[in-house]
Amino acid sequence: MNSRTIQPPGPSRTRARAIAAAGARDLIGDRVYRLGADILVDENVSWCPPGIRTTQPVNCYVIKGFGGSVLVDTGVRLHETEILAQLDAVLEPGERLAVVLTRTEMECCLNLPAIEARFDVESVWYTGGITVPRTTAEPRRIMVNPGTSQLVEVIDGIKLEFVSPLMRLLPTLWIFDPVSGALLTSDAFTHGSYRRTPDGLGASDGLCKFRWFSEADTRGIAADVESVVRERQVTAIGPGYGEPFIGVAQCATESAALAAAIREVGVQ
Amino acid sequence: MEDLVETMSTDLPREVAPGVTWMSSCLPFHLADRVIHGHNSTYLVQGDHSSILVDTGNPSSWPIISRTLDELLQGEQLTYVFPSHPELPHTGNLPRLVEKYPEVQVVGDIRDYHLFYPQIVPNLHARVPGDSIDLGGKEFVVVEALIRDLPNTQWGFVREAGVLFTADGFCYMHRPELDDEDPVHLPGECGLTTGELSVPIAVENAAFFTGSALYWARFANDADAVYDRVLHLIDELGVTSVAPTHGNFISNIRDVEPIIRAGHKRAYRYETAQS
Ligand SMILES: [Zn+2]
Ligand SMILES: [Zn+2]
Repeated sequence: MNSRTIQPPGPSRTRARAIAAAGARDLIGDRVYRLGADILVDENVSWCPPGIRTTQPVNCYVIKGFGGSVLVDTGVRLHETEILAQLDAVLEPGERLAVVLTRTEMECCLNLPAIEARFDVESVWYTGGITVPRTTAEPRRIMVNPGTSQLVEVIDGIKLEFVSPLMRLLPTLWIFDPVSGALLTSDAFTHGSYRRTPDGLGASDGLCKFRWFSEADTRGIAADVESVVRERQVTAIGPGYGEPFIGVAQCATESAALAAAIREVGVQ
Repeated sequence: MEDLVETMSTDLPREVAPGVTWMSSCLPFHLADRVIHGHNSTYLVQGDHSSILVDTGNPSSWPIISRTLDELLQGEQLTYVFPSHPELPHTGNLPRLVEKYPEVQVVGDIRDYHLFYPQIVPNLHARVPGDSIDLGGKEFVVVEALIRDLPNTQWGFVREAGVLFTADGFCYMHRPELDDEDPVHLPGECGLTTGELSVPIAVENAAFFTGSALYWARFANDADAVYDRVLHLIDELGVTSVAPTHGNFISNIRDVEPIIRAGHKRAYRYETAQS
């Protein structure tokens, strides 16, 4: 049986309206929702490319299952109110939730206490050496070697692939949902809100955080970015900040463009 | 192991240079196959009329940090806090510090903090390398971070004490393995300066930290260039000791620098189970 035919029951029309009203957007049908809100990206934001001043969404994602859902990252504290309201709309009352943090950095984990206080969070999955601000949820630390991945049943009925990318600063996971084809890429593929052209030019604008690439041999990193997308049927790329990319062709184009930008900036 | 976070070595806090007090709660750092023990330090610099806290410690260590500040400040308000970069072990207690000291000025590279901690926006004051903060008889100077992970990282220097604060630079694990039966902080270990340690730092412990926390060192074969620049800075400023966030206070920087440099070199192409 094709795993793509397994879908959770869709939301009722009333619920769909509530979801839209709260500002949550569907990334892929009623399987993956994008939560969060916009920020102003300017010189007060460390990942802002030179000369840019624009709005940009900061995203976290809900992957819906039958018996519970998975929240990937928790958004910035500035958006706490919006994210709680969006979760209210997307989740069934009393629905169990597992949280996956792509990084233990500030834009990923700081709404965890508020979410734990309001929803039934059974576990928090994360990588890296430091602890996260959780209270009662079970901590599930997972170590994945950079350049490899692991398939994990995060909550009953939802198996996600935890990809450890070579493109990173601190320990990082990209999360792939084999059912929908969504690849959630944390602090990579963040160039979607900047100057874009149809052929993916502008990908280098998403590299500001990775200044170390200019001192490094980046060929392996670029190849890894390309192969992660090529080896999976990626139907959408959902970054932690920036507009997502939708469609198999677009995802392939963007990964080739990002890989090219990474190669170009490095030393070899 | 988790109770490490509530405790400080009995050797600490201690004054490690004139007006500079070292406090550290050791934290468990989890690897694929074991848990190791590493410093998570916070430094208080006190001048005649003002004080600055360098890094905030991890949120889980707040009770001990708050108590220690009460003892050290003796009823005075904390004037400044300098978070070296926005990661929980360095910045995570900012909201509590602002709650405890409503007038405190958060100084440094404060990009992104308005997104992470909207409640402290009125306390944020941007500073760039070269700026100095007068503490009364002492100045805290903001210095460019020559070794860092996140781009918005800064170092600091107090000339009168000769101390350079290096955040994730010059870090190493002070004990690679900890058995369950061991006391959490071995006597004569967590609270000693590098000049007092009975055994020098092992290159492996420096390589280990560099390879995991400073992941880029695995790809950039630039250790000599980086540490030559650091040595130049040390000469230029007149640095006598180095205060890293994750490692013992370094009182003999000339002896320790080659070890950290060698560790950084070993981290190049470092591939292990730890991410
Ligand atoms: Zn650190
Ligand atoms: Zn200790």
